[in-house]
Amino acid sequence: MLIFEQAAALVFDPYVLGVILASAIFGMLVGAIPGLTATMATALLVPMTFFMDPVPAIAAIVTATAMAIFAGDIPAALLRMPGTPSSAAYVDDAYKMTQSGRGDEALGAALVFSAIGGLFGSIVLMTLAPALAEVALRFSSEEYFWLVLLGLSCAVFVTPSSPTRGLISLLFGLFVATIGMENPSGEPRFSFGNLELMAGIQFIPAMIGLFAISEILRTVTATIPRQKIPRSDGHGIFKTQWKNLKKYPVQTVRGNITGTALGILPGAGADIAAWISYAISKRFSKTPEKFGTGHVEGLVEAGASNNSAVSGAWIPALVFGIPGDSITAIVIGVLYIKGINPGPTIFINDPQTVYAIFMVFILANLIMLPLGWLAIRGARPMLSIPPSTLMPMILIFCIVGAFAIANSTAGIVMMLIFGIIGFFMEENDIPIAPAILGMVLGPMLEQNFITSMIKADGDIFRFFERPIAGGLGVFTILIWTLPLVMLLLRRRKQARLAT
Amino acid sequence: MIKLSELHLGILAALGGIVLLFASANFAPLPGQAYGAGTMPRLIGWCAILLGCFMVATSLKHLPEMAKPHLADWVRKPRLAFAALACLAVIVFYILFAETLGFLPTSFLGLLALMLVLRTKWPTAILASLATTLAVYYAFSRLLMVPLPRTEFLSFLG
Amino acid sequence: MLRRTLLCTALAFASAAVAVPAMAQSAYPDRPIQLIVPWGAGGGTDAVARILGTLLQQELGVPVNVVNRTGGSGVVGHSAIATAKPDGYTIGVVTIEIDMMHWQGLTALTYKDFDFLAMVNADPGGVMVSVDSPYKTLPDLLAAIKEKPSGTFKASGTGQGGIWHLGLAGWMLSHGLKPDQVTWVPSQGAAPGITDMVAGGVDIVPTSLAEGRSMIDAKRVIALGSMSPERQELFPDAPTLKESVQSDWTLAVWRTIAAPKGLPEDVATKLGVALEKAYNSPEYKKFMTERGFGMRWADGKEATRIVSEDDATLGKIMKEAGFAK
Repeated sequence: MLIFEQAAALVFDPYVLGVILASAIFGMLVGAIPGLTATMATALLVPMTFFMDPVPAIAAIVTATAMAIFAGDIPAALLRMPGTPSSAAYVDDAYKMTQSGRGDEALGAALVFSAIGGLFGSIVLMTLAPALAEVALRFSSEEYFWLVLLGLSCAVFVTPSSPTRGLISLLFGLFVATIGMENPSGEPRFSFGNLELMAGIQFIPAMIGLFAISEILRTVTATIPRQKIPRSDGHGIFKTQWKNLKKYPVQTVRGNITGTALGILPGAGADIAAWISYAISKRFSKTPEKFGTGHVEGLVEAGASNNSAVSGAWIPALVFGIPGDSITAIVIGVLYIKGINPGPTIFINDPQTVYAIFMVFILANLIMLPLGWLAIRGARPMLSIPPSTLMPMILIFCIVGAFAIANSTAGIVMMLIFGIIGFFMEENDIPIAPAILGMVLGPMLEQNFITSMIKADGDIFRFFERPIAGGLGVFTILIWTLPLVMLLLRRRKQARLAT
Repeated sequence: MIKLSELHLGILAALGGIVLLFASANFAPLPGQAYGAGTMPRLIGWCAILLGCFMVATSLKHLPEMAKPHLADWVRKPRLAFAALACLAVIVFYILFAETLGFLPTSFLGLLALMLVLRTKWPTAILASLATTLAVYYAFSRLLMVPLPRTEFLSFLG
Repeated sequence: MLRRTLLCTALAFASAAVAVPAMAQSAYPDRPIQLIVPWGAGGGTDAVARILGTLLQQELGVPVNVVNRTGGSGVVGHSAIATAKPDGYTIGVVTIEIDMMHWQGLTALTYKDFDFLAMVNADPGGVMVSVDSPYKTLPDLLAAIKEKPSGTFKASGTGQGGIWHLGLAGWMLSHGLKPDQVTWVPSQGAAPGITDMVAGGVDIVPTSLAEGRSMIDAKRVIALGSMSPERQELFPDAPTLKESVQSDWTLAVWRTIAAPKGLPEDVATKLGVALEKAYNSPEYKKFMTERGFGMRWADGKEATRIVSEDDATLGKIMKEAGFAK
């Protein structure tokens, strides 16, 4: 108990609380602007944390990243401009809810379930960190290979319309991911000697193009003028969430667990967690046909999932100094500078600091609720601006966002090209989501396949030799073949009945 | 733009796959391995060809109505087509001139032009363009340290 | 913190407005400086650049903005530095990859396209194995590598043809072995390579020992050797290759601060002095030692010499190992 008191004294200090508040506002701002990521927020904070004590320094980063991940949902819901790849999984549902006057409910769900996910992840971090980090240490490229294949099968579930058009989109995304020289061979592919293409297609500009620019084009070419967005039905941001929680308890828990589990794995992370959770949610939903049309269920599950993954990524980072994502990579550096060396002994050597960090996690996810409420209220007037004025404003935001991610004009060019592609795709009922999924998973698929083959000297059975890999492999193959077998059996039965 | 049928998309996918196969023919495998830079593009290429063939095969049943591409409604309305082109033109304008003119004038002019094309009233357009430009400039280049292109004669603005 | 930034903005705004008339003849620097990093946020180079940027800002009195220009194995960022205006308002971190990529035929860019201002860090390579490995000393490991058929052992820690891959090939060559005696498994950096080694995916990781520090402390990874002329302060138990297996192979990756070629003399001097002050500050020293990064100072002239020497050595090894095109 003494340790808890000491830890509490470290956290509930006016200076530390001030830092938490300021970095929360900062994170909210950065996250709400597409093109600026949670990683960027963390990197900008590092020079400032240098002059702080350990606890406020870590508190600043924890708070800012939690806020930034949630805030990415705000432009996603209002402007169809996902701030981060993890918001992209449910951007269409959130955006369509806003268009039909349920923007408050969409953002409220994103906010409340983000907080729930973050809290769940934090609790797992506090209680089970050492044991779970051990499990994460057993994952090698074979295991990740199967995991990625499982993720790819999500494409079937995130496709709202015809499966063939979904597959076209997925293949397009996979192809885009092969451009450049960031592949296991280090060979420049499809770059035509162009320096910027050698670096590969920048993910964020492509995403802004596919979603936001295509949406602007769609709005200005709409033959029937868009109806004004109905005023919010007055149910409030929080009120509807109690209902959602009661309606979707299983989804919430499932999202939390999936997100935390994938967050712990250093090779997975929040982006994949959101997609997989969205797909699981649709697969087991009673109303899968509503997904993608402005349905809150997927948002609840995937929203909880990506925030719990962010907390989960801290587990291998604290226990073994293994970065799960680029945020924790920066954090590990800060921990070392502050003399808190990550390792299994961190819980023994530095319990006050560790418990103080845990408290900050809880506090950050709680402070998210009022601040998020303010941010949602603050962003609302944007919807009452007429499209003739709003669209140009969004356009300039897109341009600056696409520039900001790598500070290069090439990002704007890519945004433009992908905007036209996205517009063409939507005119032809080709869904965009599978393309994004392909871009996220393509590089991982290639990396893990090629490296596994190198390790096995080309022996394909290596993919089943290690126990976890074997289990995952059999599971994946079952998921892929079971529907087919069922179909064949049913046909046979029908044929027999007919005779 | 053009609205394509399942048949057209199938042909496009198959053609894309073939191009991809040819383009990746020269990628050497990793030293001492059967796999390398060409594996993934070839796999995607074959998948695209298979998918394309499947789409063509299934759509042959409905051949007459599948063969002719449709034009989207907005293409026939000059005002809407012009608006779409204007959006793209503003992005191109920014790409070409931001570096020489700097962010502030480029953004202001682009915003103003596009708002007027989309029929926002003059006074509103001027005010909104100015406010957006300044807000974006300060948020990005000051608070978030993004080096937006500078304008020499406006450098007193920071 | 936000308030502080806002306050700074307001102050900068006010002072800028006052300073307009005086600006024509004001001395360098009178506006923000860009510090380009060719590698991503979160990596070691980014961390060094950010702390150095903060300290430079104090020395020079203008904001120093760290800008990540990533991709293409560093080619994009290095080109961005080299092609900028040589006015002192764009400088960057140039890393050892500048001595590799032109040999690989990725770019025509070489160290000759830069004016080097200082070298601020160097990290020697090492040899690490998992604690589960049957080999507990470097001679044991080397004997097994020699004895077993080529390709039995697998190593990882950077991309195909990356600096640590080269380091391993150079070490093999120094014993008269084939450069690909140990098969290279490409990874996206040292951390994934080390994780994979602990998971049992690969046998050896030859990156800088600093990258494996947390796992070494956690007794999951053993540092068998160091590719430096002397033992490293942070890892006194890791012998040098020379004392352990009589190999002359050494390799250290360094980070330098450089400007595009053609920087005016007075600007170069001013930046050099500011960098030296920043390097010698207690903050920088504390940061580097806590992170496990090696301290290494060389002024512009000396840095240019080291960079050009490494260019020749690495080129030679790359040709022998078959990396060069």
